[in-house]
Amino acid sequence: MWLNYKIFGWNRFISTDSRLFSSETVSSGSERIIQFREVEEHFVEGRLASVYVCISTPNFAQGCTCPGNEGDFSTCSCTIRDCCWITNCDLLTFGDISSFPPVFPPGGGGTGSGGSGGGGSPPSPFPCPSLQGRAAAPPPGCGSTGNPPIYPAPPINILAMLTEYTTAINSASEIMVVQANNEHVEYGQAIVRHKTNSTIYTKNKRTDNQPNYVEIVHYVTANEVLIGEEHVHEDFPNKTNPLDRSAPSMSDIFALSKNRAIPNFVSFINCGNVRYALVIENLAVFAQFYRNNFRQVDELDKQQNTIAGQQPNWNSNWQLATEIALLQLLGANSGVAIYKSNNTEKTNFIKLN
Amino acid sequence: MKVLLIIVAILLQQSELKAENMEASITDFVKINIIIDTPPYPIGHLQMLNLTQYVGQPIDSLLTHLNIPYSATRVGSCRLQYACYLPVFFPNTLPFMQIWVGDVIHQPHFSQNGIWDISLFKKEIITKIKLFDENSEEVPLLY
Repeated sequence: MWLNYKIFGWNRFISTDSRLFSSETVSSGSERIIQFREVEEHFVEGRLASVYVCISTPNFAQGCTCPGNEGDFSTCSCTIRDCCWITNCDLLTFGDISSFPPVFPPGGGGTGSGGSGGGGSPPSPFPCPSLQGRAAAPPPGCGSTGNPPIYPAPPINILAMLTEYTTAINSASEIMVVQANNEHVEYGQAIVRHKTNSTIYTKNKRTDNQPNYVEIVHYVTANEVLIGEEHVHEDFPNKTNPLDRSAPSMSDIFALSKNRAIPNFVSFINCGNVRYALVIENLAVFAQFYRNNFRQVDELDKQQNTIAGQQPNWNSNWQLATEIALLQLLGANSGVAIYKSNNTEKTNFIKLN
Repeated sequence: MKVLLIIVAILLQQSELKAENMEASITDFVKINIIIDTPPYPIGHLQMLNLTQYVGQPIDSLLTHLNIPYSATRVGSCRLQYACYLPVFFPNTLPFMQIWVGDVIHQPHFSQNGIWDISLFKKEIITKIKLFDENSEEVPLLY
């Protein structure tokens, strides 16, 4: 869990061993979800790390139901989002270094900078394997620095991926657009891939009956993988020109954070005439961008509105004006890539930034 | 800053850590709970506030009964031009709160320049409350 948290940013894990953190929850369930919120290393203080661990258990008393097999929390659902879980968080500090046996012999080779050989500094929790005198090349990253190797994810053709997704969902998506425009409220839905047959489809279509906002439900079954979401920027009342519908907002950008642990998760914004796609292309950069800016998301939305209003074409093409403002605010270091469709079917995309 | 109570409980637990090249006994772990009644307010403190009871009531009613200092001076938007939520910040504290509303009835929901009367906005009915921790990650309300 620790390595996956550190390297990939995953922070939610289903525990299959009820003994883990057993004293931290009153749950009698055989499985629980353990969430890492932060990890701090304290090697200098003689301890490995402190871990802020949150353990969530189903809130059956508040109407949460889990229709699947006992212990299968992936099936849990509730009528109100986030009410389904009781979460207890604790700061745990692990590891009295002095209790460790000398698994790194004095002067032993190849353990790298974090793990030590003989000089009194504590061992790294991510030790590189010892070469033990063999003339083998160390794994990538373990040679001189001793840092654990980080293997990049295989490259994905994002443009092809977007075409695949939108081709699959187009029919359901267009129905949602028409419905949103007729009712003048935002609709949204999740996009999933079936694990067995790889079919891509939408689910959980819903609205909050608001012209500006929809909370998308990301519930999937055990046979589905969440790969994206889509919501509609619909007509204003008495305005049917699609160019009056705004491009994604800064709030839409930050909303990506909810699903940032899913590689290549896509958020589509369907404006009727065009479809925008938001994809995190650099998770570390995006995470920093999010941490630095989300507190001021209301100010950034306001800035986007102001900048858009300063564009010479804003009155005739609000969509383009807000798009220009968004790209200006994002700059070059947001970690998010913005794509926009360029065909009538809204299935071919170009990258805007 | 006044710290009222610091409880440090030390629990000893034995388990085993097995890895390819080592087997070691773990570990003492130290569990620390800190309860503070003045800023900064840790997220756990904010989570313990009984906020859910204010859903369905005007924003003003929550703010009136909020027994810690706060700052709420702006109206947040959705789709850039619709009044949507009230960001609430606390002194010397990173965690913050957003108070969301549905229909806006005390002034026009839509504003071309994204400016609303905040005193009127505080009369709107709360539909949801979101809490964010020191890393701006949304956390659930516990009450």
